[in-house]
Amino acid sequence: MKPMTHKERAIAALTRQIPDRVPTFELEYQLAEVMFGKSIVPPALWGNNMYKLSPLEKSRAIREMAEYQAYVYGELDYSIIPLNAIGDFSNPKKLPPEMIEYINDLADVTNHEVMFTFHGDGTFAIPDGNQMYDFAYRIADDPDSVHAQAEAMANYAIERNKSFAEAGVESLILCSDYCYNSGPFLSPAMFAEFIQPYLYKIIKSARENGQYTIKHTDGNIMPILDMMVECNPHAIHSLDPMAGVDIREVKRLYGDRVCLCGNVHCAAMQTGTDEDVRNSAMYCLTYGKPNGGYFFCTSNVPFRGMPPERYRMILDIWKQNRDY
Amino acid sequence: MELKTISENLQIGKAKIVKELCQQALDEGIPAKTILSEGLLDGMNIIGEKFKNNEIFVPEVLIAARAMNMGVAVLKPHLLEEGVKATGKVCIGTVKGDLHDIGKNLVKMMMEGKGLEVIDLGTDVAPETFVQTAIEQGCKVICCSALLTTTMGVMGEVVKAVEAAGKKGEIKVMIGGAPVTEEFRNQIGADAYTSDATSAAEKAVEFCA
Repeated sequence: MKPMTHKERAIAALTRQIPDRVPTFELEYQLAEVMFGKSIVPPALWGNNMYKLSPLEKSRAIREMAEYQAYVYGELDYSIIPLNAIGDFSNPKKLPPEMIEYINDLADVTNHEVMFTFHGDGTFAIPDGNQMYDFAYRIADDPDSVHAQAEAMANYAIERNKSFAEAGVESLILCSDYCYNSGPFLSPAMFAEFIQPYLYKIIKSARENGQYTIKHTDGNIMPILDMMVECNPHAIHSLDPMAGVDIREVKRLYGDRVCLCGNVHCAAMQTGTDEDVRNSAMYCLTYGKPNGGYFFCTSNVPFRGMPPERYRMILDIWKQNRDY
Repeated sequence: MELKTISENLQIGKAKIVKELCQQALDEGIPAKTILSEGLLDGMNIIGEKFKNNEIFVPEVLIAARAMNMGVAVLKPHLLEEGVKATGKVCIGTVKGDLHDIGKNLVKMMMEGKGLEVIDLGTDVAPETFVQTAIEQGCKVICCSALLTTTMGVMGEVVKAVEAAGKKGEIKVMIGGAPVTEEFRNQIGADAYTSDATSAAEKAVEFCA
């Protein structure tokens, strides 16, 4: 088979075709500093620092970031690059000019051959802290207000996703977490009422924009996976083995309907043995790779604190076994 | 009235009705202790079991706990009059460096549902704070929660701090959270690891007995 570009490879996998080889990417890559010497986003572009720069200095910093990011992700051989947020995102209908400049620079330095992705979810994630009490009580006492909020959040996400599509961002990662290791936060009936219609709406709109969608959630997704797949995302990520999600079983159940991403055991990469890590990576390739529609990646992200040699180890195993 | 009615309404989160029923039961001369155990705690025990078996989910636990708290508020002055004490006292918190509190809050609710008095230290809690609180407040159990693999090591420091204070065996250390395992418990020498909120509450009751 003729070698594909990263973007062609990503599209093939996302549409459940068989690419030249199994692609890889991560929702976020937090080991740039430890593996490549500095973080992707330079301090000059953090928060308000950017507004202290002259236009020329700002453009130069954005270009350098794009070049460094292209280098890092090129070394990692990612087929999809997760974009960083640069600038003020308060208006969903208009991306900040700095973000557009960054996307254009990155497309330029990657020869338009790599797919870009950005956060596009607008559904309720597991609320934290005291918000969880408020959310649960509202579901019981005032479900209409929960629906109204869900609708507003979805509409906001849809507007912003359109802006990203116009800027050339071809895929969206939908990262609202729904599940714990033990199972979903909401009951399946609540999920069907308060999440599923809005997730469906966001994905439908993204498809109309020509964007690919990758639905991520941690935890044991099995009780709601059918409903997630019904929403018609191109891919499901991260298939968390710590929560008992088995890529072999998910591939058997849904492999003909959705692309799968992940399942390489993050906790094993942090605290397990080398053999645990090797076994997890090989298991994923053995059961995820056949018939295409699979991205090799971790069951969360390569997070800060993960031993970099463990991440290199799974990439080496992938390189040795990725070709179709 | 049948106290089972209180239990049943608690299970479906009918807080106002639970409150009214508790008052009605008191008016009928039923001791607060009996209303607590056969009405409210009975309901929370059933909720705990159903949650453990994935028959119900977190929001349902939260609204049941709200109903219990409203019932307890009605009973509290009467419980004091009757000299009823909590079945035990524990302190709970998410360890230093970790700001996640979902699991910790669930465990707290389940423990209160078992009649335990729970001192909630919040998140980002230093090992010495756990130990100092337990000693000063007379807690028999310290419960440590962590969501991150990078912070769960602090649990080992809590175990060491208990030992350093000369309280090993007297104050039990329980651990839990997504990355925590029985192997890890064994490695750091904690007294118990539980994988879910209901089991944690049951183990704490056992330690307080």
